[in-house]
Amino acid sequence: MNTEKLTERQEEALKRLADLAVKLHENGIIDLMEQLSELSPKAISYLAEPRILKIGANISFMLHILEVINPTIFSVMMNNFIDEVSKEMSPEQMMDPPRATMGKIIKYMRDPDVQRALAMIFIFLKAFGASINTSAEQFKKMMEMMEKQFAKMKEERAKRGIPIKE
Amino acid sequence: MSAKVLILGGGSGGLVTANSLHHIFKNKSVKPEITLIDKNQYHEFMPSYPWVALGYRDPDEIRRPLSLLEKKGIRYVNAVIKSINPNKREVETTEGVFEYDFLVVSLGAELNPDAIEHYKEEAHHPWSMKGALNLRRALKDFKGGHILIGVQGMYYRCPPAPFEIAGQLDFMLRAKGIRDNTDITIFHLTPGPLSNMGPAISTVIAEILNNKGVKFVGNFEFERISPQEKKVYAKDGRSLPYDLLIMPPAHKPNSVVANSPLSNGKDFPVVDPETFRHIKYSNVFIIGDVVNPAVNLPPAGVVAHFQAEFVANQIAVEVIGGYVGESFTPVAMCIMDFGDDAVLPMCEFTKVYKDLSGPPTCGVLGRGKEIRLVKEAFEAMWFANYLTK
Repeated sequence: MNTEKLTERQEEALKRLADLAVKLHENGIIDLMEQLSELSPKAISYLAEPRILKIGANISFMLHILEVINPTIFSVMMNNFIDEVSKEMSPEQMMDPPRATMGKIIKYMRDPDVQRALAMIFIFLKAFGASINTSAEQFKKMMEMMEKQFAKMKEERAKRGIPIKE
Repeated sequence: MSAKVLILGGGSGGLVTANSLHHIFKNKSVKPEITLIDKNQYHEFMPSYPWVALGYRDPDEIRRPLSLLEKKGIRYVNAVIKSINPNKREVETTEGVFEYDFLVVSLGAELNPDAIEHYKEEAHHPWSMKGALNLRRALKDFKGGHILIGVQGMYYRCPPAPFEIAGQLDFMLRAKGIRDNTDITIFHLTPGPLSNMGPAISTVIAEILNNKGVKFVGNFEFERISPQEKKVYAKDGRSLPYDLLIMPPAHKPNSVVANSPLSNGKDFPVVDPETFRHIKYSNVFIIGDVVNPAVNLPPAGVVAHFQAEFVANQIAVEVIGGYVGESFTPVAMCIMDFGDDAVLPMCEFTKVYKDLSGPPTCGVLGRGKEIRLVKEAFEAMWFANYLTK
């Protein structure tokens, strides 16, 4: 390795860096960076506000849903759905939207496409109901556990003479 | 004469207090004398202990000398604390007696490996640097069998750590090609993995453990270790076999604090949970694992961190006469690295802290192996901010 050549390149790089530093300094960027660097240790506690954390956790969950959905199935289904809807819906139709009378409902119910869609809706309803049930069980268990834990903690606090707000 | 602030302990609570005070007073006309005392020469980044056990980090990569604080004008004294005398406003150490106007006690909990019979001969743990290195040696020789990970109580540092270690071990053993002849089991007091944090976190951790083939045994109230049978027994008679046992040692309240007037003969000192000031000695602030179990906060570095900023703010209020700084919010986050997966859970303990009126509000801020990068970035930022070279 030619160290002399490397030193020249280093010198060139340093000169460019110095020129850049002057520009940043004149434009006040260095000053701004210096001020902002003071904020970095504080940033954690500001970002750790319960409100921000809750927003973060909810956004993360929404993103998780998008992560779980199979893009092949989702895009094929959505594309076909949009195609079908656009076939069925026209500006003329929107001016006089169809009404679902009892007779028409019965007619629709005989349509295999409507039957498939209804079956899917019932599958969703079944899954939704099951998830409500599971969540209720989970929250019940958690509350039971917390109550036991809190009873022990209250006992401990009473022993140490620490007041408890009821 | 400038106010003397004495900080006991160079863990996360002590380190953040010292740095926050330095930051607050850097450009002020009034400056307190800040002294930090610790028996150790290094500050160790405890969340990375499992990485040391797994060989992903070496000790020098996760520690920096506390003497670096001197660059910021913070005096560092390497000494063992012998006693605290709040009546005289003095702390006695192996390097002499130190007087203070404000005292911040952040000495942490003590590990007590002697509390459980056969623990020292049978169990490994990455809850200290020495423990992490011992576990690394044991893992190097491990050829397969039963790995048992569990806890002996609820008072141990970093509640998610046992789950994280299980995930990392699964990853490592698969890389080593001996996962098929190894089973990994976790036992815990809670019915589900981290179920005391609620279903939002518990279901995610349970799913990860399930994907990795890690078995979870809940409601397991530890009773004893049987070295002859190589089994751990629960109080209800259940037993679990082990070839490699990983358990945090029993933790106990800090003995210097417990033997001082601050604790008044009890295990933990009594503080005002709104301010972390001692109930009798208002110029003494107590934060971190040395007090948190008594104020319903989890024993974790992140809680000590936020307490430290809040306490530095209160000291500033007294020294300057008024200051607008950090408030305290009882929240905790941690990055759980499972090797090929990672989770960033968060919990807000407002309802638990102070009046035990309800469960914590918890959620997952992110999941995926890329979350490990957040942990690595946080580790780098921690040292860059608090022990700047």
